[in-house]
Amino acid sequence: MGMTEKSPISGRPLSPHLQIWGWTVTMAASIAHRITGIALYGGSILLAAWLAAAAYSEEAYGMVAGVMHSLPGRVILIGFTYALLFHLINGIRHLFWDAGQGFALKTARASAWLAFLGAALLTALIWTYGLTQTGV
Amino acid sequence: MSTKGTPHFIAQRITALLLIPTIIWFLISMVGHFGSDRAEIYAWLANRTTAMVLAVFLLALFFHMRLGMQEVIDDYIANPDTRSMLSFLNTFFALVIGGIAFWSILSITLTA
Repeated sequence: MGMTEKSPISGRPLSPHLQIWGWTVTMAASIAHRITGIALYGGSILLAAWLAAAAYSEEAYGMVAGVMHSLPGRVILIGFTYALLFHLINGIRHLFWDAGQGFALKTARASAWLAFLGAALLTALIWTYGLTQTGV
Repeated sequence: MSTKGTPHFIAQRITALLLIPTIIWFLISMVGHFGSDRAEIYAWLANRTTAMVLAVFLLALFFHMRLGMQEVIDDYIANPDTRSMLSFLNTFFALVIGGIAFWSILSITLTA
């Protein structure tokens, strides 16, 4: 970690302070799980609106589809795709932990990176394909 | 929720397990419908198998979502009145938004 400060007088390490710590990938994955969960909670409104519009009428569907095809709409959808994939991969990580597996520091770090980067890669693949199908 | 830790934990895991295959299925279906118009989406939603899987997916999703948000509320909101109010809103939100989504897929598949 290399963040333990030393006493200027004795040169011995000081106790860790509650508010002084460096980011680690496992910490980032932990809070990102919560943040993506909250974002997806909000995103469920879009899912329900899309399904309801499909059930309701051509006009209603056109309105929701118009929002989703707009530039801000696409940015939001790409964000939700990433959030969903991250929450999925990191959620599987949590289920492994529930089964008592994957706690070794090396494994936990590697799987945290896998969640962040795997979600990014899959999002990029999905939307590269998506934008070729719908036009940029 | 302070006395309901174990059922909460178990329900969160059951819904999580259900969501793994259904989310993957949903994402693949969405990728397959890039650029689809309403008629194509409608035909997909009207399919009995689609509707059946979507029904399970939506129930698990809104249940899981409500449990997750409950955990966030319990962790961060210290004031008991605010916590009760937000817990109430959480359940209310999940039922209303989940209900709308569920009704939508049922009405499409049952009238198509």
